[in-house]
Amino acid sequence: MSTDPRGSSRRSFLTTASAFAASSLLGGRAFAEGAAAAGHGSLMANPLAPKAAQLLGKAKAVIFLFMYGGPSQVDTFEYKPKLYQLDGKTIEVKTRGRGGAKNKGRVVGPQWKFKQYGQCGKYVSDLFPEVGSLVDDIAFVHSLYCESPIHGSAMFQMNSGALFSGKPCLGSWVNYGLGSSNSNLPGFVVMLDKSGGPISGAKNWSSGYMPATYQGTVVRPTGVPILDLDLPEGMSRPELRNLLDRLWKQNQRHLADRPFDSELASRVASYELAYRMMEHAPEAFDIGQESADTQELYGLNHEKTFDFGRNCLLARRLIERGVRFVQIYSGGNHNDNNWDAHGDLKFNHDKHAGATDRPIAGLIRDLKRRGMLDDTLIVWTGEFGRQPTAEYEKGTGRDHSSYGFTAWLAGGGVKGGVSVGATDEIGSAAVVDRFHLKSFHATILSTLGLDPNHLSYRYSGLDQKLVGVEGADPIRRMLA
Amino acid sequence: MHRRARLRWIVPTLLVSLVSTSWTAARAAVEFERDVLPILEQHCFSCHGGTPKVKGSLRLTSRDGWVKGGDGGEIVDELNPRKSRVLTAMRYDDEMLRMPPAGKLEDATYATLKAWIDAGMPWAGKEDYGVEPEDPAKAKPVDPMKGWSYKPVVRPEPPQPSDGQLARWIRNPIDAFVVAKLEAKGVKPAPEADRKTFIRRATFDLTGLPPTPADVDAFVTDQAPDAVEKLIDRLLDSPHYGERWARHWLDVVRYADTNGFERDNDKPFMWRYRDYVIRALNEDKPYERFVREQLAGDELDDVTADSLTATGYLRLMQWDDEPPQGHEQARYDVLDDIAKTTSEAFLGMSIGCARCHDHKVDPIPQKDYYRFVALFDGLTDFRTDGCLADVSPPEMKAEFDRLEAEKREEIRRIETDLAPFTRDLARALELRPAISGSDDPTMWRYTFQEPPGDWSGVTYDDSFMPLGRPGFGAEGTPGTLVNTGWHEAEIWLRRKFSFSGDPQHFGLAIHFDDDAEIYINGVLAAQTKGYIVEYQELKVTPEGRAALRSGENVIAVHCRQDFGGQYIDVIPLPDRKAGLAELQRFKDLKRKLEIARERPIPRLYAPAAQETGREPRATHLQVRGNAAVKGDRVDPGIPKVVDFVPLELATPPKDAETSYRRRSLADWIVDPRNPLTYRVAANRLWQGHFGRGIVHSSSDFGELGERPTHPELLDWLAAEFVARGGSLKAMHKLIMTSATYRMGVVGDPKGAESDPVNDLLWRFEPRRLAAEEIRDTMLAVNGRLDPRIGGPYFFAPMPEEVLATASRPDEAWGESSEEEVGRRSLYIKVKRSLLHPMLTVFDFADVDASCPVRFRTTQPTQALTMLNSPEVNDQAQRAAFHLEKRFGADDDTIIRHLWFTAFSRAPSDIEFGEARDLLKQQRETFGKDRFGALQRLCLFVFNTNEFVYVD
Repeated sequence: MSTDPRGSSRRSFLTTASAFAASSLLGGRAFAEGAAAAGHGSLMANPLAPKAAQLLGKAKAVIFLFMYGGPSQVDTFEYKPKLYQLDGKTIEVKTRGRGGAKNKGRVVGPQWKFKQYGQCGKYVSDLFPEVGSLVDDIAFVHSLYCESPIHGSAMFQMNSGALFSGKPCLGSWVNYGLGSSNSNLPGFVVMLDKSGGPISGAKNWSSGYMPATYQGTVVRPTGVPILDLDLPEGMSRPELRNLLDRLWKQNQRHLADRPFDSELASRVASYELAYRMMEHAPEAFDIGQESADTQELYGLNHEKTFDFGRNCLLARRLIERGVRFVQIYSGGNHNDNNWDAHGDLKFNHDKHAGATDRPIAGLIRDLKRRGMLDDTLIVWTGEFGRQPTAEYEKGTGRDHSSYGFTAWLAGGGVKGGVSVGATDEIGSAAVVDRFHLKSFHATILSTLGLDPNHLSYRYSGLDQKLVGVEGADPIRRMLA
Repeated sequence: MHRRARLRWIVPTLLVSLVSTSWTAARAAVEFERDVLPILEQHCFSCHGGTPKVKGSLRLTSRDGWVKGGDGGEIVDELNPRKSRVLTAMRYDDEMLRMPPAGKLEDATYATLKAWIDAGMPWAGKEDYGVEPEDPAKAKPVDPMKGWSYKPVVRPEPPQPSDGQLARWIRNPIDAFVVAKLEAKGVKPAPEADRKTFIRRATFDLTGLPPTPADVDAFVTDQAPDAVEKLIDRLLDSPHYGERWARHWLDVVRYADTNGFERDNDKPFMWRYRDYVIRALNEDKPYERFVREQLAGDELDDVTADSLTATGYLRLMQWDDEPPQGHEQARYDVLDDIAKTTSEAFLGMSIGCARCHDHKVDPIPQKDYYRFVALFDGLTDFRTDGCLADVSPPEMKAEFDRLEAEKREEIRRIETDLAPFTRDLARALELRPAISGSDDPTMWRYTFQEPPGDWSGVTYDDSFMPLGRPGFGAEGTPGTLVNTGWHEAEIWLRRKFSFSGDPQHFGLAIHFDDDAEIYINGVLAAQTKGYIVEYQELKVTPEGRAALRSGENVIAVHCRQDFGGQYIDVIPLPDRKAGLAELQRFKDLKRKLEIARERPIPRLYAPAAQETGREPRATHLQVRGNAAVKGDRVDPGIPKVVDFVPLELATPPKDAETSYRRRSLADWIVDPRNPLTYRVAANRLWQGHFGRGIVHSSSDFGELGERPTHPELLDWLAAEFVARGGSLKAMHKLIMTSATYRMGVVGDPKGAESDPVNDLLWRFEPRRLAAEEIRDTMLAVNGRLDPRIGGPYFFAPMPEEVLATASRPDEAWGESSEEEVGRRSLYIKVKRSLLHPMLTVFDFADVDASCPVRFRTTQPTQALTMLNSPEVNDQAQRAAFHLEKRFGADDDTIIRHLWFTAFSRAPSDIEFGEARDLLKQQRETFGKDRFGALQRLCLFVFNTNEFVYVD
């Protein structure tokens, strides 16, 4: 895999590279030159080659569990005892969601009971008994806020730090900063819900102004995992090999007359890489290789947990093989196909928590027993949270809220059993230790040893950063 | 707790000091250090002064800092301390400005700070508690090129090489500049490319398509000394030139057919702007005009359909119909996008960096940014309908105006005829004057409560019921004439009518929604169920007819509402036949009116600039780019660093609907003295031909951008561009006839050693075809290319796997006809959230922000696409059919033709042998039929390096 990024970014590549001690990252044409020297079928120098982190980080890979639609914080991980008593009462409270800004509303009490779990005694609702049993490995933050209570823009902000598209996503930044250690697989992988993609589709895993090398690749759990990975109709593996050998011969003659164009050699090599991808990628997606016990751990034996469980298991297999960033969407499409519980909260959250609780716990347990949890970061979040009050006259549905919501981290670089910040007594807005979403991004980068205030990419006259030009500090209390 | 107790004591003490407006350190020294400083240290210093990074340029570690404020202006109102902005921020009243960000201060803490501010901020101890930030004036070597792009363009004299051989190499002044650098480094320019290479290079360069075998043949055998000039003229005359070069510009202006965000709806007729760019290039519109039309095509002295269409430029940005931070912020986000793109596209200035604070490196203060934004602040907000303007050509416009007037007149005529019916339908259908004793016989007595007693009877006293004009019901019920509102569940109605003659001639007309009973003189005369949507005749029962009397009669109606629309009106027709004829006339007229109203006038619409009036709203500086926190008012203007060419703000004519600020900006941009405009344009041209600009960062000519590799050449080109009247075609020809452009790809090994990246231009670099060119070339090879220029976009088949990534996979994409799918890739719908994978995999421009130059990546996913995708395999399949159809069973001719169309050359003997062998092996070893084998041969050709790289 080689790149010759456009002139303007060539320098920034090198600038960034020089920031990495003992880095193997090379800029611009240097990749291609490396490739030329390497010749037929050999590995090329590659922008996704593993790079040393800027700082000491614990995590080496990220599994980002995106609860698309926005789970309700007061029904999942932030215990608000007072809210039960207020159920049905109309109170003064400032909220803002898709229904606009309101100053009062009818409280919907939490629809599930909370229990204490673990050494730390964390309260978790009955929606997440399995995750609850692992709270000592988890760092919660209950006081995140962001600017948008509208799905489209909030998704962009959660994924790329900006309210509009055109900026690289977290997964792009991580691969830009760290590279990938398996050239047979993409470094940034996205798995969608079977009901469809999220709002704005591919914009949610775009590399924005960075080269396409850093964009997310959608993989599918069944059939052909990667777009165009399968041979065309009627072509066998030996025929492909034959075709590639013929191409190699033809391209060598072409190359011989153009000694200064290493890019041409890179392109020849990219065909060999593609060949190896076709050969090896399917193996990564073969969950049949997993023991019955492991499959059970992820909930593959139950219909309702099968899909998300399989994606979690695949995520583990992918990071085991060097993929840097895997994002799994819980929920897709619109309305109750995701966590967007506007109508019947009970139905909606039972459905989505029911589909994910066991798989998520299974993932953490599996990583732990394999000794992988120490260098894998697990992120759990929606694009925002939900309001304590009802959206409509009747029913339990809650509108969106970006004034305060909960997310959690587990694994590499994360301090388990802690809860940072809080919303007010009814969960309407963050009041204690408020953290802007960018601090959450900064925390994620920090666990990977990337300095959020120095990981930058030159575009449009600016050293752009995930956390914005003003920078952001990580939420230190979540870090080990 | 202890501390809080003390605060209660201290606050009154501080308030005392308020009595005196002056302050002394001595008076409050103890309190400041003991009570205020710890709060500041805990909550403020980490961002505002204690660290090297000072947010918002606001340093709170010294009293001076509190007084001065930061980017957002003052934070303390010294005359009216209680109104200080810093207090508002600490109270968390303003959603957009909350400090400290980690959480609202406790009340007591807030009270302490408020009292301290009230007291005039007495300070004590160290003058500044902050760590001094690093000295920014650390000595750096002086950069002779600092600020180069802001200096006037002075046309340099082309240098003379001392070496005679090099002097002979020069074909035009471009070469003189290039060769001077080469001579200095001792590197020789590469030998000239051969004819075949050159025509392939030039044809792709100007049209994005391969030359036809006949074109190649003609050029190679053309002995004329001006063969190259003729070739370039021919290519510049091709309409495909506009298509290819439009795409370069569309990248820069972030062209897309949709708005992005959640719904990602279409921008209606956006493609007319795309077609405008194609047309402008094909017509060789002077650059000056091209700029003026896009920025201010509606404010020019000669506004044309074309110039209006060009202002679609101002509507291209992504747009959120559900802005999360309110409409004011959304408005300025859009204007920011426009200002940023304009400054980068036309001026190579990254002005957008100064939205939140002064530019860190370039001399662009924040104020300059808002002055620039003010030039666009007259624009109306973007709307879902796309802000369309009528861009019909003038000759059609007159015809449309005539049709429009005709239509208006016809509508007026029908409405006049309809008036008696709509005014009082009953009177019109009864064909009768009023009966004696009543003011208005068509009025009804009505009630929503069931009347007691025999309410339908002749003698019933209905005087308690109010009078109402028919019909009764709810507005919006189809086919009705509501005059009296009825929203309750039921209604009872009574009125009198006069009748004489044969009861057989009596009739009723009705409109009901829902069930109704009609009584005549107390006898049930008709009954209806359900509802109808227009007036109809209602049959009268024999009993009803029998109840009719000569003279005054009473008609009574009861109607019930079920759900949905509701309405009741009953009209007695003393002369049934005549009444029904009138009813029919009424209905016919209504239908005619509908048809007349809906008759379309086929005007052409395109997204265009519109403003709110001659005088735009006031533009303010916005603190940290936050539209809710307004600073000083600013006047429209251009950045100070380039204002040695002054901006002259035009006064809009009296009848103007816009401010003419954009016109003023356009005038300033195209001013030949503007140091940036023509350098930037000449550089983009150069980049288009050589793959890379003389300034590599072609949209950033600022301090952080790259320095020009050939500054004199760039200035010469800029001056030449102006001198040649801004003719792009003249410049293309100048560049393409230079010896520099005509070099081969293999050159002096010394160059490879000393300048491997070819900054000196010692050779021509092969170019990877752009995404569109790869697809278009396959279409050209398989004979399917549909050469139609312009028009609405089409849908190229989208793989199901990619559709699945959309949140509504079924509605995300469309289908185009077989023929349309053969059109050039430029016309594939550019849907922001669903770009075609064939384009994106080959580095299609990001469409959300200006793309100055595309990436050129080499990735295995590209190989997967070219080998495995249904798209490419289908193209190969079609090529196989096409070749077979044309050349039958003659493999050798097929191979020769394939090589000619794909590579613009004949196959070598070795290649012939290998191609024949491939076909044979496909048939014998891999069991393919003839088509199958040919398909593989074409697939092979499409996958070669030579297919996607042009020398």
